[in-house]
Amino acid sequence: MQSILSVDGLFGGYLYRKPVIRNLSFTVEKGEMVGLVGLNGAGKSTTIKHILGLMVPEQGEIRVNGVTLSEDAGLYRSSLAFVPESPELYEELTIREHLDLTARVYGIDRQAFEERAERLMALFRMKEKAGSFSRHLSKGMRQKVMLMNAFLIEAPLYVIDEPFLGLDPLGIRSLLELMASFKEKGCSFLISSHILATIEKYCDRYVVLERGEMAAGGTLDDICRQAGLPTGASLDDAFFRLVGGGEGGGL
Amino acid sequence: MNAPVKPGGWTTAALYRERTARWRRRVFPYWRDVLRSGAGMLVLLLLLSAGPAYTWALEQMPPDFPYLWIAVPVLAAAVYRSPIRTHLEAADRVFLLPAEPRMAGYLWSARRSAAIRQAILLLIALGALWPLYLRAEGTAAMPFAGALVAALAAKAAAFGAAAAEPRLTRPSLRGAAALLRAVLALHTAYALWRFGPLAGVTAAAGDGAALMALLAAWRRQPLPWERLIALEERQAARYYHFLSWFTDVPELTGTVRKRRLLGALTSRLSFRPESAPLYLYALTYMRREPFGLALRSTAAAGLFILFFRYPYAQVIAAALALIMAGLQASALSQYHRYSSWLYLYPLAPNAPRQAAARIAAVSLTGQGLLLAILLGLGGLPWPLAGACFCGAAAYAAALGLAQARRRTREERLG
Repeated sequence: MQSILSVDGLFGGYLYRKPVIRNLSFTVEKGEMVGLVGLNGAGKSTTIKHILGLMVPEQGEIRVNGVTLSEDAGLYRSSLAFVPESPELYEELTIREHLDLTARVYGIDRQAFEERAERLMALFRMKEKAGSFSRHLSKGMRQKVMLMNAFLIEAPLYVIDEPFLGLDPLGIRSLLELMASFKEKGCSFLISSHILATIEKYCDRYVVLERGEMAAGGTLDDICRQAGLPTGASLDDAFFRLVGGGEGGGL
Repeated sequence: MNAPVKPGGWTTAALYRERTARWRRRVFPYWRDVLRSGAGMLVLLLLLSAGPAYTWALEQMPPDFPYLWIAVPVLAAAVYRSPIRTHLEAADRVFLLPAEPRMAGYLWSARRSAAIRQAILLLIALGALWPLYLRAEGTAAMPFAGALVAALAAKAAAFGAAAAEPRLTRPSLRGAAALLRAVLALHTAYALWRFGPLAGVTAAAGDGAALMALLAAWRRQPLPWERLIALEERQAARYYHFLSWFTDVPELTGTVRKRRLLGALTSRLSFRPESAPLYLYALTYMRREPFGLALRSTAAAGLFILFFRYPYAQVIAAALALIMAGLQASALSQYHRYSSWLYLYPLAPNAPRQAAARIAAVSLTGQGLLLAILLGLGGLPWPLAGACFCGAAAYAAALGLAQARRRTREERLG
């Protein structure tokens, strides 16, 4: 079966011949949720930028829905929805207008847009803020707007960078419910997060990055085995064993 | 905890000097681009031709020309406008807040720098109006020095009020203070031109004292960090916006106006991917400065056209309004240029720029039509007004063509 995302032998970074990411390979299958974890500076955001096509790989190939960006930019781009770590909104648009713009861009018909927008605004408790401009929103609310725009599309692949940052407990709960329901529909997720205890409950597989390379990969049991821990250990323990046991690991 | 003091006598006034120097370094490359773009030559040509044109216009001026309708608003605008660049930054809320008791030196430096700049601008405005005044009043004219003293007194009063306004806690009071400052500027300008320097000084002193007394009575905040930072951001954005008429400015930001009724018009755009960039840029245009300037310049030109039945002056006013709006509208494509979303959307790469150019062209053509109708209503023969509309449409098309050529050049350069 064709993977929804395949990263194969990726080398890439900000300076030519000085790759931040080295020989990274992994896949995300249909209906799968994959966690991308690593310390600050491990290369998570750089990996995501390559997947989005904001950076060009020095070596290797990235396929979304079976195509590379150069083969079919339209299919590649319309197959993924992205939620950045820091909300990036248009200052000139209200919350509802952001949703309207997203619906137009991705060719969603007006009726479906109205239904989905209403449902998402109710879920994230943003109905009262529909007419507000982004400048007047808190960081958490801005993050909710980013999430609503992403989930409006119902894309085959979701790339989410630090999804829980700034969200209140109810927002986190709503997001997790939404991700679970979209996963059931067959949507796939690549989630970069430091909240290991939360993603451990939801992700099927993990990619552990350390200094631009894959330190471990697979299910939680696989990760534990690679970390030298017994089956049933937590992702937090396995992660600490894999990347945090060396320098600066304690007080 | 006290703010750390560097050895060697670090002062907040020195910090202000450092920041103004940094600002100059930041905008210097843009000015270099502006000069390279040929704008410097154009300005020089305009200045060289403005002198003879002004002399010619004065010679044609009838004895009963109502010069006060020009002299009063121009001088009042120079008196009223009192922006103060503080160069405060968002990070100052954290790093400079502990030094608040020592910020007086910083703000004093900012005010002194702004006062000197605005006094020079006032002198230029007065100097530009002076030949018009002399032509109208002849031998009954007051001495220039007297007019300058009165104008500076008015400026000092307006400047003092403008510096105190951000400290007012309630937005309604800040609005009222700005309105009263405008009244002060108009009153003193009228008193000066109509009754002479003594009347001007008296009006400035009286109005200024009353306004300052009101400001002192209203509730104030010792140092309104949030407002000063927001004001600084707005002023920097205006500066960048001006530079964006001539060159690419990645820092371009600015004020967003709600204009909900106009925004609702965009819902009429078809609900298809092709209309998405048009939707985004239409909302951007309506809520950003280009539309505001088009509105203001059309309103000012319209009033001029309806009240001054001098065909040459009417056509020049309409052309100036259109040129100003055109320069602003052509900068529309600069908005969102560095937004990663436009890159991530499944849209044709040049679709956003095409949408921006289309909106600029439609807006300019519409403004041209409105001005042509106003010219017709203002007494210009309708065929001539029609010709003016054709000129406006040609100008809109020329700007669109220039944008397309710039786009092609940029795409070729990658």
